[in-house]
Amino acid sequence: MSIAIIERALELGLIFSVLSLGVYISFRVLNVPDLTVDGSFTTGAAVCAVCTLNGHPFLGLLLSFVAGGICGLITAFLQTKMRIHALLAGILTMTGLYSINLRIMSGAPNIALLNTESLFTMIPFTFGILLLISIVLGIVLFVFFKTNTGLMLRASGDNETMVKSSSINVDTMKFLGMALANGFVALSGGLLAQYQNFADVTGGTGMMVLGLAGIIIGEAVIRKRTIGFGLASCILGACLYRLLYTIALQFGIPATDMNLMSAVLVALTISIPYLKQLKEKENA
Amino acid sequence: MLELENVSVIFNKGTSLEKVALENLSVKINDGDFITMLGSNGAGKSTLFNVITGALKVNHGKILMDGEDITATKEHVRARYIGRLFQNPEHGTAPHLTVEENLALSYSGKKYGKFSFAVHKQDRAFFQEKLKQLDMGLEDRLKTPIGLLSGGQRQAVALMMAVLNPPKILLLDEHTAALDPKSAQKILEITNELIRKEKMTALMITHNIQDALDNGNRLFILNEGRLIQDMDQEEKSRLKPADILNYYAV
Ligand SMILES: Nc1ncnc2c1ncn2[C@@H]1O[C@H](COP(=O)(O)OP(=O)(O)OP(=O)(O)O)[C@@H](O)[C@H]1O
Ligand SMILES: [Mg+2]
Repeated sequence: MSIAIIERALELGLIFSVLSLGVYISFRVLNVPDLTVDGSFTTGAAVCAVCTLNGHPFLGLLLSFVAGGICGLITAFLQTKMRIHALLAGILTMTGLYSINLRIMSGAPNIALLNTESLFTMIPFTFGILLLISIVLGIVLFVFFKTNTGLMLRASGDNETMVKSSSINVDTMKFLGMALANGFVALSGGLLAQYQNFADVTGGTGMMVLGLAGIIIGEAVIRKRTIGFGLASCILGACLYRLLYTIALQFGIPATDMNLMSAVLVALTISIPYLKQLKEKENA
Repeated sequence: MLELENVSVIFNKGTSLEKVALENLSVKINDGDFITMLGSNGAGKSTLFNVITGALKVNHGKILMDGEDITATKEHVRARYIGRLFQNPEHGTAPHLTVEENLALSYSGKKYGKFSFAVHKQDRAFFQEKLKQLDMGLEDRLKTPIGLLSGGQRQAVALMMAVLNPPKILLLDEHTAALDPKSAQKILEITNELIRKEKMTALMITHNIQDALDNGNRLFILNEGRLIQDMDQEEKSRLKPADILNYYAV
């Protein structure tokens, strides 16, 4: 593997670390598996691509975050005000977003960003800027989770019974958490669109699991479970995952098989505690 | 301070599973009352608490707090002046947050505002001083995730959290039932002390008749959704545990 390939793998890893940070907020902090992600990732990419095409790359990234936030608000609304099961709420939003995303892209299944200014053409240190973005976002989240609002958000996912009987409005926390989570997811989509000079309406497929895979690999390396280490796990894990992915490609595993690999990896890792228990019972 | 007027709660109304959990219950709770509450399983004690906190809507009747009708007030709004502790220690604290973060959750928001850091240096000393009162060595474990503590320790912290911003009324739902006898006694002592110190009004559900007689200044006995006994200090002090059993037999 050449340095260039490794560098590219890490750059993509850093882009996906933003995705993992988003998934961390919904999956680990709020404790809901949120499938909005597969839709909102594309929404971020689409919004960012359209803006970039029109000569506003920075605004594009900002708007992708905002658009993702709105996607999250919709899912939170379905969950809290319409009492729809969290998983189904995410699937509904994701399904609806497919149409919206196509509209954002004016009906075209993909947008190519050729000869347009982007974050990466304007700032030449691609790796550096991505590292900076990822770390700054991680720190911002860390600080946020240490504030009173951040603490309330974490408590809502950690013990809903308790928070319900406290003066914290659980619904408000779900709105906030889902918006934040999908904002990060969509920003990741926006960054990827500019990085690849390309946005595709099917680009979000499997992103929830991909984000999760990053978290899980990171957590396998960093064993501490505090919020700070959790966020660091996301960034490290997403980069490691991408490196593994690249190595697998080098060994001739086709890129199209990678979704299967991620799914198997996540399924296995999540069930390890249970499998261990089974084994202990057998031994006993 | 707290008044219930003809409150009824009916579950699954109009179906074959219809269950009247509270039936036309009226009661007036005075400032500074510490009421213990007995009643068989399913008598409606927890339901009464749920109605007071707003976790459950009433089918009929009104709830007044200091004269103000709060029947339609949302649960999280009422929580500003109603504190609650559950039987299960796991319900009262957030397991992955540290001891100090849990305490900050019920303390810091009001003091510093929503976007300030939750745990401040000067609060640590204050938290430690509060935890010292519990005499469980928790003052040295501020940074421990609370899920790693024992049930009794968790319940003690939950109790502390409930009174950091003293509520107008504290509801204790068998809050010592899941603890070993020694921890239970300890938590009960702390409860009494906190209620006295903060001059709180409190209601305590228990299945321990002796505890019900030994604590508080007033006793409720609930049966099948109705308040069948409301005794003051004097009547209560004359009672023996055996007398109470009669009320269960109904
Ligand atoms: N959500 C519900 N749906 C249907 N019935 C309910 C519901 N909650 C409580 N009940 C019923 O209402 C009655 C009162 O229940 P409640 O929990 O208030 O009893 P309790 O006095 O607290 O009993 P315990 O001492 O066992 O805690 C019971 O018969 C119970 O089955
Ligand atoms: Mg009960």
